[in-house]
Amino acid sequence: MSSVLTSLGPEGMPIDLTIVLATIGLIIIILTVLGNRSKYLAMGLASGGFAFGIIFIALQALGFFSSSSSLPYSVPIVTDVVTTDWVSYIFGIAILIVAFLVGLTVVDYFTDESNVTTFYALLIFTTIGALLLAFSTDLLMMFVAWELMSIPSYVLTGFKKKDPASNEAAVKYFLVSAFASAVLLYGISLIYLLTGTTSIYGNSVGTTIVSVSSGYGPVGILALTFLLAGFGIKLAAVPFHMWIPDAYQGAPTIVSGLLSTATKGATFAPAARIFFVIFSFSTFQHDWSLTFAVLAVLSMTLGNFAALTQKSVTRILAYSSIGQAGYILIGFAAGSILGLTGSFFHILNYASMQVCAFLAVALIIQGTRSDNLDTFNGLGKRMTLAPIALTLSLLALGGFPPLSGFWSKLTLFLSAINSNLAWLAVVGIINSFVSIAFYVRIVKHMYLDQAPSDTRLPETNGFRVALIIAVLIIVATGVYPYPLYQLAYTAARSFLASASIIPALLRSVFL
Amino acid sequence: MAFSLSSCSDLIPNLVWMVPIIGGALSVLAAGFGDRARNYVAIATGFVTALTATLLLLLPEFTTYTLGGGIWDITHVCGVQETWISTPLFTIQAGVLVDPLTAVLALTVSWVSFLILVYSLGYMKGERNLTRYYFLMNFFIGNMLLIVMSDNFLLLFLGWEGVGYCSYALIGFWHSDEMKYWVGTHGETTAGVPEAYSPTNAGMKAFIMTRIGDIAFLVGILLIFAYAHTFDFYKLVQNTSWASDLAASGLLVPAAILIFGGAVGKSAQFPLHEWLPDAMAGPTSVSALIHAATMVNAGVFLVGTVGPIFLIASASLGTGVMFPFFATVAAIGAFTALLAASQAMVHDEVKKVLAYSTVSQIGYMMLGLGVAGLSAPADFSIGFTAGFFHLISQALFKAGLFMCAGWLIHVTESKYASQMGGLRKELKITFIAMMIVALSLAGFPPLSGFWSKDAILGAALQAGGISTIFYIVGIVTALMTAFYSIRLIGIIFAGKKSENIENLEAKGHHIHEAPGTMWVPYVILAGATLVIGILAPIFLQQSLGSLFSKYLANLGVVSPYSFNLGSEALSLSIGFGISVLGIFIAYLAYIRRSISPVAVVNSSPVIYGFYHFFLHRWYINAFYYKVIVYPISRGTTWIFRNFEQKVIEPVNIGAPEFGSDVSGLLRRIQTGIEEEYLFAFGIGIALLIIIFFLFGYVTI
Repeated sequence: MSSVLTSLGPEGMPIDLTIVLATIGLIIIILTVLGNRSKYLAMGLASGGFAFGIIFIALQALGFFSSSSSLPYSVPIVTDVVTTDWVSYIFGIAILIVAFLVGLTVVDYFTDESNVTTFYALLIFTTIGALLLAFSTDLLMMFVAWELMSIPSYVLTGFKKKDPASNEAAVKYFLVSAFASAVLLYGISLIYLLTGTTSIYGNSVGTTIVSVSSGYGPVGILALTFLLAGFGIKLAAVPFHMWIPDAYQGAPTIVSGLLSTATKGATFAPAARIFFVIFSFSTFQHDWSLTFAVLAVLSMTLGNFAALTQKSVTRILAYSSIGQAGYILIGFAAGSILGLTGSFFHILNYASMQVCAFLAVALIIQGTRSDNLDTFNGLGKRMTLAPIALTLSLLALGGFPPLSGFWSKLTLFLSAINSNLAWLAVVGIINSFVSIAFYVRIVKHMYLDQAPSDTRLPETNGFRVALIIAVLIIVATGVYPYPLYQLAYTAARSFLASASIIPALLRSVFL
Repeated sequence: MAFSLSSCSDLIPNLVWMVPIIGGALSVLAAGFGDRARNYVAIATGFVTALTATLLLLLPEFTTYTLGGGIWDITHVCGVQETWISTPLFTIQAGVLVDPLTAVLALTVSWVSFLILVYSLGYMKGERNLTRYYFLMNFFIGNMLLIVMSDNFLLLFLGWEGVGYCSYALIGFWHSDEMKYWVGTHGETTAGVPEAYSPTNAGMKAFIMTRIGDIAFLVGILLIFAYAHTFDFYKLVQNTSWASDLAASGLLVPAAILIFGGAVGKSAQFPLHEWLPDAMAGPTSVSALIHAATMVNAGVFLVGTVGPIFLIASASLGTGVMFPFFATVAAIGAFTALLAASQAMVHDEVKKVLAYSTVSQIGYMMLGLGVAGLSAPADFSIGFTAGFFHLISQALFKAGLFMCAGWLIHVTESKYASQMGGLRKELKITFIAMMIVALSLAGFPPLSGFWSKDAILGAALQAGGISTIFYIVGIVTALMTAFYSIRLIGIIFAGKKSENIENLEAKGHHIHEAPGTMWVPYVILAGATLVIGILAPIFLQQSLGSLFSKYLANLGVVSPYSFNLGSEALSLSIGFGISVLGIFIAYLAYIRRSISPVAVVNSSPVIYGFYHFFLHRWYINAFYYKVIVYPISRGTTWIFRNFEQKVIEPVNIGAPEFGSDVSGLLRRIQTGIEEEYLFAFGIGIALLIIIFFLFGYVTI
């Protein structure tokens, strides 16, 4: 088996993985003829596929298929369209875990829909897209992956076809995304114009044509702007965040969970590759860390403040997603190994925290039939697991020790201070403080307020399993952060080594 | 280096503290399957913990280094550190270690705790909220074992705080504060300060008073960290330059005394001893756990860990550098022993007497550990061994005493000894068991308390110098101890039945023996104190001494230990004589009742004055309330009215209003109109371009 899987060599791993997942996706498409009778089979196949992917990547990362025990810190520059490095591994595993968790809850969530099997096919294809996005090292490959990830997710957003809100969300998401795709493609074409290649790593080696001082600087800056704006749509960075609250609220809640974690998380991988490799300081000679700092401040502030008075819990989570994107961007602004470590670490943590929160809310909404905060009153008495999972994930998102979010936020703020961006850390801390207000408010409604009725609300098994796994990840990482931290650190270090440049060299202490 | 730190598997040492914590969590889950499942999981957890702790002695890592290959020859430590988090800016490592001290303590703690858990099965039967109870009990034990197993101050402090929390939650377990759960007599006051405390009040008192010590402790370890850059015990011993740096700034002894402050709080030593008597508001099984297995022993363990470290670290600075520290420890120990014993003589509440006796006995242990540092370095192991021998011995008889008291209080429906009386016939098993453990407390041979108490007094006698004063205080305390232990037994079991019991029997309440789950544990403990007492002079005390002597040698304190009856004859006979004297007086007054204690007290104003002085807790509690608690509470009321209400309140109202305003403003952007979203997108691109062009250029 392993010989078949590794027939393409270690670099073929993403290909192997996509082939396996795509096969499963196709089988599930065929299964849709059976209608809803096949939904459990589809769930089994999809979960199996995701679990296989997680194990496959983990084994690959641990050096199971190769002679060397693990990846070296410095990865040779690849001109292939996909790569296998620590960055892609950690993003890949995070995406697959999120997809696995969401997949567990689909059958329980869509009790009224007639075509649940289709959901699994779409889930698999959007996951493949996200995976390829994390693995891609070529701008064209990246764009294809981007579209593969996006298109099924429009359908997923509008999956409740009789629900006008779901449809509206899908249309809004689609329109903005189409805009983003266009802008992204334009940015890519400008880079091709400047360098004559679409390979990300090919760009950075020895080519200084994008350099600001080469006279083509404005074109380079235009390319950078368009790419940043395009990614910004998926990253939920202000001011490209406008669609987020509407789409997350209208979409089926578990899809919002998927969008805000897998899709968004996956986008950070190519963003990091493009900004740190193509537009690295030494080749581009243009310091864009301030731009990221501004985006980080805008995202944090808008996300956290707008959530304060929000009454719809899904919208609160949507704003929280915007705010959290701001924290992650701090690491990009810091631009050091510590900064990227913080970003990667926080993306990993954020994925488990946010998906846990959305799944818990999805389960609660199933019972209460409303995402209004007031209907959450006294939920602690009416449900067992969902309020606990939601509480833990919200506290983790708020950065309470000893939960996972605390450590990654700590790393991010430290990295900002270390890169002489102390003011950014201060803004981040103030925002963290503000965010506690709305995170804890939900907890307060669930545990301290009087329940409108005492009837128990149902908790289904798929949700139970998914929530328990997510909570375990959050708590385990919080209590013992070292392994994940080290993983993020290894990824950041090897990635910056492969970029062979230290961005914003003049301003940051190299750590 | 004098010691070896071999790398070995840290699985079992880690399991020792993890098992109770995980098991406690499991018992909560098991509660879903019914109360029986929960109880069994909780008790099985206690058993597995005890077995795991026993496994420590069998680890191959020990036997390979032993001289004779026996389990009593543990001479090396096994330490593994896991990195908790490591950033380029800081690294925090933590781990567990096993050395003779931790192994012996883990054994004592886990087995006594297990017996207490079994006892809880009967004692807490029919109570509500037992899921919380069993979880907290196991969590308590787990945190105590974490203190014992940790190899650095940081992890120790985590366990330390965990223990603090659990004690708070368990003392206040009956948080409904019904009158029957109060400690102290209603209406009684000392200088205007009420003497009765509700469980929640008592829990809070315990938490706050120990907190004072904890702050000192934290400051102490941070002081050390600031100079040594490590929390690790063995690294502190390995590289002692921190000590000379600290000494150069004159902070070495203060740091040690600050750390000792933590022990003073946790182990209820003067001046932070007042929480323990009121902690009796908790269930009796909790009292047993706090007094015998967990909480109060933590302080002794801390002093036992820190003492040698400071001794070794200061060795290069000349002898006597640490004299003030050890003298403080010994003096506080001796004074606390006397202070608490005097109060134990006069109180009527059974559990309060036992609480004072614990404070007093812990004082003895501190005295032993302090004397160890005061004596010649070669004699360090004598006081050290004595302190920990007494800890083990106290754990056994005090747990036994509490368990017996728990049954007595339950069956007589009264917490006062004077409302019991004449119970020896009905409660034969309890009577015999309690007699044995009380005699052990009284220091009567051949029970373990006799040998361990004498070991401490003998060490003080041998140390000479200032320790002679401590010895005399110790002897006086021993007399009081013997008196109050037998006094308690006499009042409860001898003489006629009290009115209360007769009323109960008239109402049809039959005074009956405890169920098996309750009497078996305390009979086992009574047996253990007897067996240890018999074995102590034969080989046990010597083995324990050589064990600790090897442990200390491993650290760098060379101090051989030898015990023989001959050389101890003087202190042994004095100890025996004192014990018999105390027992005899108590026998006359409370068993034969040929002397009337009331008449004695009233015979002279001096005795009467002392009686009231003791009964009112030396007025220390009242003093604290008058001088500290009430002024602070008045002061905070003032701050509340003038600062909180006038300054903070407006901010509290203003800040959220500001937040809502900003929030409303920002949300106004979210119009829900797609065209405007795309417009914003365009604005964003423009913004980016502006930033890039205006601020991005870097000229090289």
